[in-house]
Amino acid sequence: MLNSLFDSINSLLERHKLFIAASIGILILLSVANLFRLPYDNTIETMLPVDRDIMRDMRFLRESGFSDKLVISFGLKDETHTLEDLLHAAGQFSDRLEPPLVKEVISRISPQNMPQEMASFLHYLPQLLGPEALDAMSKKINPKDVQDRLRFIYRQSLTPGISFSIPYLLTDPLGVSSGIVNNIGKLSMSLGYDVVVKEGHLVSKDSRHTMIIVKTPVILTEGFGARDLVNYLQERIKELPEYVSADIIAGHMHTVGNEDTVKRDIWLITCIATTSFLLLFLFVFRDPVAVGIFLIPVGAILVSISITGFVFDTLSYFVVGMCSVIAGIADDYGIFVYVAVRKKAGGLESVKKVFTPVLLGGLTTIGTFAVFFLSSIPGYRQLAFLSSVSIALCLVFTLFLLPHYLSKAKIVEPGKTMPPPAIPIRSKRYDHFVIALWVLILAAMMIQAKNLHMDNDIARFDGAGPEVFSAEDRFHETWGGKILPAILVVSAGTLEEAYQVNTEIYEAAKQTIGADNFSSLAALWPGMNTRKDNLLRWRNFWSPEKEEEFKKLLLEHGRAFDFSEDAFQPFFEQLHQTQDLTVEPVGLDFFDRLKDQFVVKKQGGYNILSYFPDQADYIAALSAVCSGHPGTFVVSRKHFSSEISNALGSEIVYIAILSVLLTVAFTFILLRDLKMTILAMVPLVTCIVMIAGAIPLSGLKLSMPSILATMVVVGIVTDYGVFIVYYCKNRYETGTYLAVTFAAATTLIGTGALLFAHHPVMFSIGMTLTTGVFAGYLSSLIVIPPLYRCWVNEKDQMV
Amino acid sequence: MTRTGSWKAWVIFLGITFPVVCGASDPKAILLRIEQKMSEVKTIEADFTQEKILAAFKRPLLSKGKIFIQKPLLFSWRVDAPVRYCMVIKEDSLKQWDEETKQVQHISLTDKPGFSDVIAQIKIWFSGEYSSLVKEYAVKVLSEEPAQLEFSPNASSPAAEVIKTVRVAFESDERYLREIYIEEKGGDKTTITFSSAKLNTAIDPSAWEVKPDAK
Repeated sequence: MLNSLFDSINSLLERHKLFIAASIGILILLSVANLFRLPYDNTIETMLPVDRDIMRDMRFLRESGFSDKLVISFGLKDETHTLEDLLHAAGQFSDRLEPPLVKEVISRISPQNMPQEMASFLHYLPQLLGPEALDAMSKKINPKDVQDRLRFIYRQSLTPGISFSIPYLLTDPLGVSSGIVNNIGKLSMSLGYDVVVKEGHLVSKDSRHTMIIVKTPVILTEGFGARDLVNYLQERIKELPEYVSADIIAGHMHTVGNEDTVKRDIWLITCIATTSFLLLFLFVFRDPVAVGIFLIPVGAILVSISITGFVFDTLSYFVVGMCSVIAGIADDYGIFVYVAVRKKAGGLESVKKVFTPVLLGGLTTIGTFAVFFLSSIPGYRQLAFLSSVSIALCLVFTLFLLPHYLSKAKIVEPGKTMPPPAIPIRSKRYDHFVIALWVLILAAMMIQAKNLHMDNDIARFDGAGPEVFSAEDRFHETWGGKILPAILVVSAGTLEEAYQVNTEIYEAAKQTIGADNFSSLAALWPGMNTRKDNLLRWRNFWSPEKEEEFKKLLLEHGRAFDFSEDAFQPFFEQLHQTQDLTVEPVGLDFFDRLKDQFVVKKQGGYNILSYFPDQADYIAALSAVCSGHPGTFVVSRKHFSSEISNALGSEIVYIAILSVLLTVAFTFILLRDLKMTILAMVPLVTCIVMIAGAIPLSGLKLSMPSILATMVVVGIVTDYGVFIVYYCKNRYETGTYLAVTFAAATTLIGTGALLFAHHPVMFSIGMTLTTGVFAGYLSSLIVIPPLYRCWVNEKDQMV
Repeated sequence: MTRTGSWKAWVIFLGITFPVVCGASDPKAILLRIEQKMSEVKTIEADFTQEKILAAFKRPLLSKGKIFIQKPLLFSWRVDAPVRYCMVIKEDSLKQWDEETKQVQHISLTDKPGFSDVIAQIKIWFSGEYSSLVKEYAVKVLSEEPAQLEFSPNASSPAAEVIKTVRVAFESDERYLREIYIEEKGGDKTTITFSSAKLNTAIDPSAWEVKPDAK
């Protein structure tokens, strides 16, 4: 049936081949032109699973303060300039930053009025002190403690110069706010950076660096905006004096760096692969028409990219990066057809003999890629579409267009233009030796495979480049904060609601991981219900009698230090002040800064963040706390990695099983023989075992990209198995050994080019594909024939 | 005197007085001159008398003691009366001790972002590096030789939240301060008078300790 289909299509094409070739040529040219108009996407989100938690974390990162903030660290390059010079240069730099790419620049803070601000903040003391603090306060109202406190205030008045702290001390004669002051210090340092404030500037401990914080409307996952922003800042950095260095620390740098690495890799891979393909075809086949074998997949891929760009809204750079691999796979079909025709110089008759294995080989590969349609990862679905369309088009061009040009090509004696096909050694001892050696190698690699470990850290897929990583290393060396804390996010529709849930979470977190390990704004500013309860307790505590008792103590013991009678009036004034619970502190720099760090306004509500060490036990404990509070969740690098890993892992196991089943099913349909199907699976088994053994042997770990690459290899090497088994069965003189060798060589060129990639994802894929294809190729040629002779057709020694 | 003679006398008079007048209205030049002279001083040891007029106290707070400065990072303030108290600042840390509690309190300035700037304010008035203050303060020359200057923070300066005015008077050789007067926004006033200053002499290392018997 397939043969009659082949005949009727080819007779039709023969009549219109010029028109069809011209049409395809125009289509390819249009596709090339279209390449520059396609909407490309360089965000990593395309390559992440559409898992509810992962999407939530990504959304949080996009909406949180981190994704639209970046830090620029300035340093002095020489010893002749001073911190003052540096601050001046940084100040001028900040002044030059303008909208629309920069929203706000924070280059200095003003802590000089911190004691005054604290004195103002103590207005809220009645709302902020909980029952324990009131107990402690109660114990301090006695002659000895009051005397000690008054002595302390007196002594502080003897410090040189300005009496910064006096207004604050007079507002809190019992010193009950020390806990609040400590909390402010702790919350300010919760991101773990070693920052010293000098003259309002953020300065490093060595006084040779300063930093500014830049707020931008460009979110870090927005690839093209990130590039504009980075370019803009780098241009401004060029205007700095020569003695000042500047490092940009931002997620945007990773977005741009990854894009640059992928682009460079695509260019490098394309150059290496193209040159190698052309050299191989021109020098081995010595036939200009052979270049067509290479051009067919290129043309097919160009058209497919355009179609993919039309079907999907955007085209992922990562998917485009896989095109050299697809080309390496897709040219196999052209090679089989070309070798079959040239071998016998038989034109369409020879093509007919390889039609079925080529078609079915193509279908199994499409099947392997097509299972990615079932993936929840948008990028994988795009890859499935692009590769399936590419291979399908390549099959059509190869089987129906190429033969019409090859059949009229100059027929050359085999052996003069092509190397002779490998002649298998046919002896029983040889067969047994090969099979035993194969089994031994597999066994050895299976033992090695026991050391195979999964690498869950998605940060290893970061190909931002050495410049970005070096800048970050320098930054952490100067400012610390290398180990970022994990974040607990409270999400609510209103700020007040968020404050209240945040307070409940804080109370629970104190119980589970301890207050010292959990930096929460609730420690300073609890929710309204809590503040209401505190206020009620405060009013009950400060009865007229208690107030009178304390006033008397202050007067009596204050005389010895010459305190004026109304020295502590600021404290007594606030005792019964009207407190509006709905109003939060305004006009206090320190509170605004903390709020900026902990509260994020998002679309339709607010997120309040709390920070804690990124440890598995804390994440587990706080995730349990979150489960009792809807709208709260934990975000951490480790947790995020394991979330992605879990989501990918479960999906990939399912897809991998489906892929193998589909491959086996296609092979069985082609061969209609169980034994031969099993034999055709020899390269599949071999490549999987070899990859599993080679990865730990190379000191690497199994990663998601390598699992995906293994699935692609399965599709490729099964083709080799099918061709060799098909050859063993039918013994058509279509140059199968030679064709498989060239097919493997071209695929290895495509996959081997990936080994030159700098992006870790591409390198990982290249390493797996090269190992798998090489193992699959060798096992197809060396292991299948002996197994066939021993198991299927022992009597037939001609195979 | 003829008209010509009168004209010549005016030229001579202006020639003599113009540079003096111009010099007096250029505080930057005076600041640079003082900074230059004070930069020659690496260590200072002096007696001080501080008078603080604070609203919280019935009478002015009078204290006496010794001050030690070793540029750029060491500062010691030792009060002998009315109570023995000392405060030592070394780089990013502050220690203080008093006779009555006999306890040493240690404060890391890096952990107290607000506090470090308070200390920076104290240090700047004693260091003489005033030219950097021009951006944030309006400077008025009260007297030229020996110099007496008045600093008033600009409205946009963070210091304006706290300080109303600072007046500094120098010794005749302008190598160190004779007096500092600080008026705060809240009305509190501080005057520190220095005497018996020893410049560029070796300072006893115990001056940087907060032990009670250290000096």
